[in-house]
Amino acid sequence: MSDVEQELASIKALQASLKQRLDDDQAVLQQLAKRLWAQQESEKAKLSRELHDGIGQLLTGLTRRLQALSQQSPELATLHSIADMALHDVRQLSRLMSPTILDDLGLKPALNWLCRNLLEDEAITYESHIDLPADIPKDISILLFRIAQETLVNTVKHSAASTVTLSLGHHHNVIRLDIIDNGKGFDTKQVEPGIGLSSINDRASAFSAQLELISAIGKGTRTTVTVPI
Amino acid sequence: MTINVVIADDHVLMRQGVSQMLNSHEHISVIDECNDGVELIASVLKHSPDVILMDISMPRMSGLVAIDKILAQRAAAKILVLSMHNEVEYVEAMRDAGAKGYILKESSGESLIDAIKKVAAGKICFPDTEEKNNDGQCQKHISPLSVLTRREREVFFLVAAGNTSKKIAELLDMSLKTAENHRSNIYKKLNLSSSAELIRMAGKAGLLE
Repeated sequence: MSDVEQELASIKALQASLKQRLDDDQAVLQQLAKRLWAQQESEKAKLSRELHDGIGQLLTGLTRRLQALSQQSPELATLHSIADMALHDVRQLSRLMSPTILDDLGLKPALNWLCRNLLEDEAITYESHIDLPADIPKDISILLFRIAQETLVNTVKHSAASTVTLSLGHHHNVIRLDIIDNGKGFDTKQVEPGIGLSSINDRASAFSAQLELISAIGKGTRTTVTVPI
Repeated sequence: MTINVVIADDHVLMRQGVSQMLNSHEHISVIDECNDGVELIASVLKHSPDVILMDISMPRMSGLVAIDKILAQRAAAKILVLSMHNEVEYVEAMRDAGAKGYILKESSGESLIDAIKKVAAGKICFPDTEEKNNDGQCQKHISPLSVLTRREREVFFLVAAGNTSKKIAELLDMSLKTAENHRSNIYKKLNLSSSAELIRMAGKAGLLE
């Protein structure tokens, strides 16, 4: 082997080892990002429990007592209705913060629940078509739930849509989630992603998921995420 | 005849309270208490209870998985779910899984005993089966507004107070069209045709300020 060939071979070997190190570092970073998200979920769960067991219990007591009194006067009946709304709001906040339904029943009922809770109150009609593989890892379920949550919250806040379609399907080892609204849309080049969307983007990349947002003024918005399992 | 019950809930105080209350009833006997789904399955196989009273959110094995495993081994098991969740998704999931009944933790002791007796007698007992099922129904008090969503209830009170759709849209920070949609949904759900009828109905139900 000539000197040049030898040098080439050693450069190639060096390149390969550098590539390996880069891959290893990236894998470590990805693990770290996943742990960070898991930690955030567990913090939220703690806060959600406190909200539910603390204020939630107090409001339950208040609502019950007002209910017992509500026959006595129309004013007390109205107070009961208000306390009941406050209880409903605290419960909903607590559940959106940490969706126990995901642990209890799995992703499909959890997504239906999410659509119902976020869209029904806003007079947005929705359809969901969900076809899931038998066993999805819990962290992937949480990822998909949180992406759907962020997307639907944005739809409610900004889109002025009247219908939303959520579909979730799988092919080989890839799950695909699409959320489509018929709202006013926006120019994806002009609008800077907000904190929620950026955080969802970061989160998706921690799981090697692809997140795509397609929209144009007057054309509604489609959010698509594909994630390998 | 005594109904033998096994109860599973990881909240010890809740479980003991329910257990004590049930044991004070002459025809019900709690024969075992379990802390999670795994303990429950072992207990059901050992004791073959008449009724299994169980929570959904439990450590080690969730209620949903436990129901599946219990029914795989004891297909005729009568399971009554005792839960804090009043959402339709929970009720449906438990019904689909094969439970015979569903009752909320905030229900009265009487309704719980009633539900246990019904399930033991082979009837089903779910919160929204009242109309369909004349002999096995659960009692539930319904306020006229319970069919409305939270947002619709807000709109309801504003209509009852004499506000126009435009004013309501302003007050609730929504478009006029959304406010009108809410209004027409409320009319549809409560079977009303005008705001005058709504105010009359609110007055009758004691909901007017």
